[in-house]
Amino acid sequence: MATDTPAVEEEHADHLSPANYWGIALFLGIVTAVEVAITYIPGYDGALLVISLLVLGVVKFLTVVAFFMHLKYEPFTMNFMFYFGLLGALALFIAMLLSFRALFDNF
Amino acid sequence: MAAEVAHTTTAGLDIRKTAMWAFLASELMFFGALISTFLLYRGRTNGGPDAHELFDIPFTSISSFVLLMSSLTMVLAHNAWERNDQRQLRLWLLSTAGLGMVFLGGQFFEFSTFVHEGLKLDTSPFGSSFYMLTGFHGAHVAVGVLMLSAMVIVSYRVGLTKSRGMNVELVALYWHFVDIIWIVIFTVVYLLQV
Repeated sequence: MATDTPAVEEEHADHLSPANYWGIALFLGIVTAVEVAITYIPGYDGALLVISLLVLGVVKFLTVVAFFMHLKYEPFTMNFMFYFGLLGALALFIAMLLSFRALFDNF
Repeated sequence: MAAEVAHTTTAGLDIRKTAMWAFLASELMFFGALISTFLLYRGRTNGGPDAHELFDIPFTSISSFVLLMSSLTMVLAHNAWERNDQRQLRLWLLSTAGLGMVFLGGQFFEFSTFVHEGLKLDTSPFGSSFYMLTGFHGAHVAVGVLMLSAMVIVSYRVGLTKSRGMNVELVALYWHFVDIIWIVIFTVVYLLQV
């Protein structure tokens, strides 16, 4: 990448094949099935259930962002913008619920 | 090539793609505010039905799966666009729009059922915040379906080649964003509330 204007074509050099995308979708489907299944397991509740669901949700979220949105292959600037927005959303979420003393009531 | 240069920043980034990522970042905060509002008001039902009585997790799980699979068809459309395979591109764009419409149909059915069971927009803070959050998400899906349909029409009329810009890529980013927001809503609003 010696030029001043990196070629748009090169951004896609590391993208996956259709077979890879089907595999990722299968993984996402399985994670969704696990998410739903654990809500029906007797005795699997409270903090354990909440943490499990949040972890599985984060895994799905990051998988879609990294591989389907190709953020993993994008320049730092775009990663920074997106994750800055995500951190902003989390900060807003925590600040809002803390303001109303409701953060821990929800989980 | 001149047009290509005109669409890049001094750092060599595509302006439209950079703007789209900035837009999506702002949308994250928008939905963050709506989700926070729902969590604040989820217990205030004013005697109306609550999440336990209303939510049908198996049904919403299928809707979630449909939207998740629409992300697969979208990325396959994007892949076809990169290979300049117009036939596959149209097929996957139409599949994505179709899955989006199935999701919207499911949401319409869910809203109708909830209204029938007594949860209207003005029934309670729980109802207002729930409809505002899921309604805004549904509106985003509807806009996505319109953009996908426009892409299909353009592909039939003039073709969607890489030389015609990166519209498919931008629509794909928007569509996947709609999907990740639903991943959060499904976990936080549905699964954690029942």
